[in-house]
Amino acid sequence: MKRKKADRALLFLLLILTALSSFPLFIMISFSLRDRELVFASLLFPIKPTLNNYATILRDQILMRCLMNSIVLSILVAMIAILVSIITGYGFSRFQFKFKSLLLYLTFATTMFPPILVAVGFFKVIVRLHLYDNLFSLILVNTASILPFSIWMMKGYFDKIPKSIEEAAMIDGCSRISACFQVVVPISLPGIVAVGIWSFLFAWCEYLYASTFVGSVSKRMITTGIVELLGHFIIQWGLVMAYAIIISAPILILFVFLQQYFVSGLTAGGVK
Amino acid sequence: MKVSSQKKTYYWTAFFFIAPGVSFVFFLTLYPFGQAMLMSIFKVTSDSRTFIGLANYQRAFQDNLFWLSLWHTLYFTVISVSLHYFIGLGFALLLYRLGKSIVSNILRGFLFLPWLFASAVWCVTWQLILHPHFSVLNALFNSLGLSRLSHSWLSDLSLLPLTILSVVSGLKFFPFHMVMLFAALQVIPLELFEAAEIDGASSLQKFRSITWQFLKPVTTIILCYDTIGSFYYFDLVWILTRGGPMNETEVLSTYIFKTVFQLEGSFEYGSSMAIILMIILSIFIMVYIKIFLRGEFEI
Amino acid sequence: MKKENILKGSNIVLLMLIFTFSLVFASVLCFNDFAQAEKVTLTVWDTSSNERPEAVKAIVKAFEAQNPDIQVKIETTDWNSFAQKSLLAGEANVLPDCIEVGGDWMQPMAKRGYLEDLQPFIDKEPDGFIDDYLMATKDSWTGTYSYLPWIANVMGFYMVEEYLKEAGFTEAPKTWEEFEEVAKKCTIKGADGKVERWGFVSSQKSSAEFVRMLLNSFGAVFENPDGTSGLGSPEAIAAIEYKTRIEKNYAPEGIAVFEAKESRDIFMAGKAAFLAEGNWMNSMLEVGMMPGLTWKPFLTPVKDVPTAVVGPEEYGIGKGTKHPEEAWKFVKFITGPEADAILVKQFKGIPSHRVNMSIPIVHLDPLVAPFADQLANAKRIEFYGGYKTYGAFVKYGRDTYQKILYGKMTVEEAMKELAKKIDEEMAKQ
Repeated sequence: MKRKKADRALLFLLLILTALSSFPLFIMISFSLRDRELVFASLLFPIKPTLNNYATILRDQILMRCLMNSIVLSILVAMIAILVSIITGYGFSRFQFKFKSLLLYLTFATTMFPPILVAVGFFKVIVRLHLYDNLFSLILVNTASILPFSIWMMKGYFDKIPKSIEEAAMIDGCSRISACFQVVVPISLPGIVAVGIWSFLFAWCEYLYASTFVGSVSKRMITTGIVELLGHFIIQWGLVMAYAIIISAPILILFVFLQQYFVSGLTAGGVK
Repeated sequence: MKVSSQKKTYYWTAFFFIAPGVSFVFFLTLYPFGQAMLMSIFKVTSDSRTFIGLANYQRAFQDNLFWLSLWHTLYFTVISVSLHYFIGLGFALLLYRLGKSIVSNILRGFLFLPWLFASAVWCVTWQLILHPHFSVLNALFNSLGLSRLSHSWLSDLSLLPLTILSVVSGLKFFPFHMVMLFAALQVIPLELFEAAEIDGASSLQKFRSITWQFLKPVTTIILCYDTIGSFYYFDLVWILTRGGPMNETEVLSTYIFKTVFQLEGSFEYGSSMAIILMIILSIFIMVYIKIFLRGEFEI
Repeated sequence: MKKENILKGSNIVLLMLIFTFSLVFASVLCFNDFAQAEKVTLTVWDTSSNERPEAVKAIVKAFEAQNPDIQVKIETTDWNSFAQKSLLAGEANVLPDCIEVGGDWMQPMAKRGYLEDLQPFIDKEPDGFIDDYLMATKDSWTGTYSYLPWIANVMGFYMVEEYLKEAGFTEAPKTWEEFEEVAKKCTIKGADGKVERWGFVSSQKSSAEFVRMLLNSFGAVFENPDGTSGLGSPEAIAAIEYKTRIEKNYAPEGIAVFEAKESRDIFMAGKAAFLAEGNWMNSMLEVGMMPGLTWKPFLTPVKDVPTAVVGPEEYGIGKGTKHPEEAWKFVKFITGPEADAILVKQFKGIPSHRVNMSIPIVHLDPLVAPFADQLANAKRIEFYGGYKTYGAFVKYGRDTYQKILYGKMTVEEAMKELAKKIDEEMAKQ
């Protein structure tokens, strides 16, 4: 009985806090339903709610192109990150060699580099390789940025899997690579999904690199696309909020479905 | 003979597994770092590029605004990381207590929301909430009869704009901590709690001897990543206050950005400041790991 | 059983690999432009296509009609990121053939040597070429013409007619005293004692339009001939004292932190009677103003003589361009009288050439005339963006105003400190 009461109180507290943290979302929706002239006519709720803003954005070719660019980029980054982190994580997990901890620490240490330096410094490389204004450069930087964390996660996940399984496979004549991909990987699906979601999210929300390495309008990402709407003169709040909702929707949906995997992936991968 | 060639294949295989990822990461970060170091020792005018050694660094140490921004960066980092951690921990514990139910799953989904939105988008929304004139937050307070609480959020100096920014940041990134800590909590074998219950341990004792031991390693990792992220966090300050009334909210990331892209177009000075920032951050992290884990951290 | 597993596993992995690499290849290919051979293609970076897309298109069309062997490719970036993009490109030597410059990054672009010297091109033109420009200036750092103005922007005020009528005024204020009186009468408190409508609103940028108009009108010398800042002079102090008085009494409280967007939001929501801006607001107000309110621009009030403050947008040639002659043709055209005439006649622009000042619409259109007349009648025209001390001014100006507004310093102390800071900054460079 006491347990139930305490739980109910906890639930109530949780609900309140959740409401608070969802307040900005409420504001986004509220403002996205307003026409330009009436934006500030009332603050909390729109006077004449309208879906015009959504229609405008969905019809806007450039903004939809931005959305597509971001989807392509994020998927590619996720896939490459998954691939590379599986391989590297497996290597770190299953092998012992000199300087192993040093290398591992150094890899994590690279996250300490100021992104602005990476952007400016890497810019020249990109240019020399004639990769300016090319999606490929964004794929490279984004992947490099989330690899350390992904490698750590996969390694942690693999550490949990007893070596005996692969050893059995290898005794039967499997090579290392096959052991990795055919034995260990299928078991590690939650971890892989976690890394995938994490990388996707990173590339999806990334702004600095997207604005530096890519110039022309057709290659904008959603994060830089929204800056177009912010405009020079005034902020078109209605459009901006509608755009924010539209670009966040895929993430939210993705997350709702994959939440379980994400958490269980982190359970073993991120946690000792 | 057989042993050494086996060893060779062992090491080569290890190499092929590790090399692609590690070299990829190193190349993409060490090269720009080298570039930045190179840039920071020069001075550039329209017709010349002169080597000036460490003069840029000297200039940074003599620059009042640099020290002010550095202080603000530290202040902001400490407050927002603490908020992230404690709010995340609180929610993780609450969710853990609620156990597995549809309700808690849905709630967890909702709690993730702030983190899932792109930073720029989130900050723009907060611009509306804290608007100097059309503040939605004030409207909310007014409608609830709490108009005493309405303030001019970002311009009222007595409210410490920097603290407000830290709070806004605190409300965004806590889900990351929450999910990692929640995942960590899942691993704790329930028998330990039962045994402690039998031994008559209080909640606090249970937390300290059981829960916290499992949370410690995760805590270090997430605090490290969060500190690094907060040190370099740019969007929030830039979009909301641009460095704030009279530099009250100027953090190093915005100051460097202004130096490089706005006030002078000086990549050189900006690079030297960024490098100093990085050095300070790495000292911070090293000291932090040493203290927190005393080398117990096993990788 | 084991055999089946192996097949499935490796298939999936193989498929994933192929899929990834083909996508990567596809993106690399389809995102790469393959250059065309015969015509000279000029790459032009601008930001104005965001705000005046039709105008830019019309000018480009006219240019290409006159120069059939040149094709113009415009790449547009928004104003806020343009500085970053241009400077980075300059640093990496990937500047386009022609590039629009303006705002606060005009000077850094020239200073760091990213723009070609235009003097050799100008020398080849007939006499009087440069004089016909109303606002062409040599860059203060390079000492030569690094850019030429293509759009004339003139600063001015906007008012809401209904609010003035309510307060008993039928005409726009002509002197600063009148201005203050109108602002005072238009500040109205509601029943609860809180102000419902403000007399005035403006942004708090270092180089805010209000500040610049006041400095010019009060006769303050921005930069002394010896290069030191003139902002500690009595005229500058008087100008900022006036600004502080208006902002403290007749403007919203948070004005100390207003960026341009906040002040525009407030004016367009009908909460203020006066707005300090420039002619570029015309197009925005036409679509964004609160319905039911009539707004009008009016001339800068006069202290001793009529004055005008301008803020042109310029075009320059990227250093190291492979097509200097063609690039010059484009820059000459877009900043020239013909393009200017297109802007004036079709898009309500303000002339940037003497020869176009006599086009009738300039002085008849109610949205253009106040600005054009200001320009035509001004005895003192200032373009602050050209001074060497402008960069330092932008860095420290806003803090100074805020210190005054927050009561930390008197106007005189603050301005003298500002001048000192600017001088110190200049000495470091």
